[in-house]
Amino acid sequence: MKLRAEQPGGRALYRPVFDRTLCIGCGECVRQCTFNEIRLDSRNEKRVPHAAGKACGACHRCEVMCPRGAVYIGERPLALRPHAVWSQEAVMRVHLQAASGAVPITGFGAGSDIPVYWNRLLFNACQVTNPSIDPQREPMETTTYLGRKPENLKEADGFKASQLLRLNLPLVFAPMSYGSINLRLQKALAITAREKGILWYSGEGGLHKELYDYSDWAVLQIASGRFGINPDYLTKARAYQIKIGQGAKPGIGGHLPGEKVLEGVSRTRMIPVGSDAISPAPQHDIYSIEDLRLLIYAVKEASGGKPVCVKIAAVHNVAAIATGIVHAGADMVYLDGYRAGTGATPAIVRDNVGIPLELALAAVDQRLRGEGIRHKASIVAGGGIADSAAVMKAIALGADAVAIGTAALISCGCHGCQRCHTGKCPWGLTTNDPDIAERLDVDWAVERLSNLVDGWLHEMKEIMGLNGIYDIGSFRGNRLLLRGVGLSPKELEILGVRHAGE
Amino acid sequence: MSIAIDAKGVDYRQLNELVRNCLSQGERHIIIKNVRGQRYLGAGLTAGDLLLEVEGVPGEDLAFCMGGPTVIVHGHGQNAIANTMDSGTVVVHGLGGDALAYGMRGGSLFIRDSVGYRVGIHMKEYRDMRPGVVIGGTAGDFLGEYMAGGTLIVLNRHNEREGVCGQADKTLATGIHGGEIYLFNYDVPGFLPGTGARLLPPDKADTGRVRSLVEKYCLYFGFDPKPLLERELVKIIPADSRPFHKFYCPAYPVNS
Repeated sequence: MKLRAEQPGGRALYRPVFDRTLCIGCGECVRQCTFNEIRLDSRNEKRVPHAAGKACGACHRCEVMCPRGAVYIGERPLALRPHAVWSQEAVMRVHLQAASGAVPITGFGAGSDIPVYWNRLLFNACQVTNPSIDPQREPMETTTYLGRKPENLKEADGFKASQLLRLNLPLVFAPMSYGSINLRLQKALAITAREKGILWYSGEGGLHKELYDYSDWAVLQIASGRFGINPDYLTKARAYQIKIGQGAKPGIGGHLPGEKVLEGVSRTRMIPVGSDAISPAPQHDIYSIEDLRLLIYAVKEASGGKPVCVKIAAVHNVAAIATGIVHAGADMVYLDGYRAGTGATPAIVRDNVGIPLELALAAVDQRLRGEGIRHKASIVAGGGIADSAAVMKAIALGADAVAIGTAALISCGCHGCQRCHTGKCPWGLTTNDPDIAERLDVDWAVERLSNLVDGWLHEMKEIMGLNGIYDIGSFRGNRLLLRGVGLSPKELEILGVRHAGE
Repeated sequence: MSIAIDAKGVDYRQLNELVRNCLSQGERHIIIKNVRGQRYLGAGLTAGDLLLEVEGVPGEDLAFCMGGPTVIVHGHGQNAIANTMDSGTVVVHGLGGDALAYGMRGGSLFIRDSVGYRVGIHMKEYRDMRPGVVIGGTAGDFLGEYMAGGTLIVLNRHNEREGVCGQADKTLATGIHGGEIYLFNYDVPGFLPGTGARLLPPDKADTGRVRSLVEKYCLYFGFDPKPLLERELVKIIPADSRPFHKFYCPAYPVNS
């Protein structure tokens, strides 16, 4: 059967719209679009851009780069009859799979309408009886130490504080591997982390030689694929992270397609050029907490006693799992929530697996306190942190530090087109194509990332000050600073916060 | 010249520290006696000219992430030997446990007798680094799962008829996308190999590679390689170097 138009699965929902009175036919938009959506036609000796209507994903690169402001991205929704089940996404997905028989894969974090609890939590503020602090005029302490703290005062005497990771503020750059993002972006994250005195996490793509200078601010990952891990790698980092799970794809492995394994990635991951980099779902030497303990201490032994972090996705029994991880000897637990981003994941997994970070974080903090082992490990929480308010709410729920990944990408140009897996990121972020990657200027990215960190830090201090708190330590796990709005008693119970008005 | 360390009653941290101290004092032949389950021996060591002899039964993760030394175990080994090993040689005069050679990138591992489950998972290779593993007896299920490179040989020295590489359905070499597995004198059950794997008779170049590894094995353990090598040999390689190539499609239209 010959179809004259694109079925919904192959039809773009956005399209560049041109203002032909402003357009000078320079063709910049054509060059900028990495998805071949725009072509230039000649009409009456004038060159005119045209959109194919087949592949625009609203990355806004053409719009931002047009020298005349002659293009913007317009929506082009499927005008379907409203239906609770057969939404635009559902209809498109069925068509896509009917055409391919494959698993639709996507990037970014889950955008479903599962509640975002950050938006239902509000801070307290000083009024009358307790004075607030003006962070513009008074010193505010945001220094944070991650790692295993001493058992008691007696032990504290011989305690090596150098084993702790010192952060100037409780923020880290979430693990993004070289391969899923390119070296320029990873370098920008590393430089910014060093400048700001925070940490960057490598993800499982190994450590490129160009980043050796920044390894004192790096937490290097050990995941199931064991890519790029050799004795040298185990001497380089400030700390190590054993990755068990990822919020965007809990319970499944990773797969960097051979197309993305070019020379640099090959050398850093130590795998042949063009081969698929497959990370099995579990680490097959870890089937129990005892096995995890084995690897934690193996890493400590081989790395000269560096702190070890274990990263898990927020899932149903997260509190019990985190307890096991702490008992296994981890110095940090990294919780990756339901909305955490990724370079590639099956859409069905991203949108349907795992639980919101807010509930997981509150449950883990509560459980570790209950067991009297909260001091044994720090909690780093990430996944869908969009502003400094969410950072401070996470800290009030018990996080020692908060990780940002997607926000960092957005600061470097990302508009959330969710096509990280294609390797064609028009902003030069999640691509290793050298011609496209060149679009990202490292210095510019460092400036943007630094500004973002600065801006958030100002706001974080403001939120501390208006609560009359000058030390981040007094904010941590202080749930009395929060009140919930429109939440059920059960949700409030899990979050450990009271309802507004109480 | 060699130096001996008595491991009796010594905690693994202390023991490994002792080994590192000997190494930094220039010792290149270290014998550890009375080893009773101390973990992580040889872990992360990089001295290519070091010979570490272990008398007794070492604990798990022997030679974890090791890069260069030779470790000889006079006794049985436990789980996770040669985990993420980069280069060097490990020789075990006895049995091996589970999850050996996980993610091993280079060097060689010789186990005189049989091994447990999950051996050789995600073994890989890179440029001139090609890990080689020889198992003298039989192996458990999930042998060579997700294998991405290197050579894995099950010698089946005692010519077992059953359970040569596991008993369960389709676990041998499941998801293999690189490297090769050789099985000696093996009646291939109808259900083998696992998803993504292909069974072939070996060609001449393969036989040369296998011969060289088996001869090394025999040299370490004092066997005659000739009768072992004369037996029937089958080879398992990936059916496709990109097994998941067509498994995914973009969730949003993409123009190429």
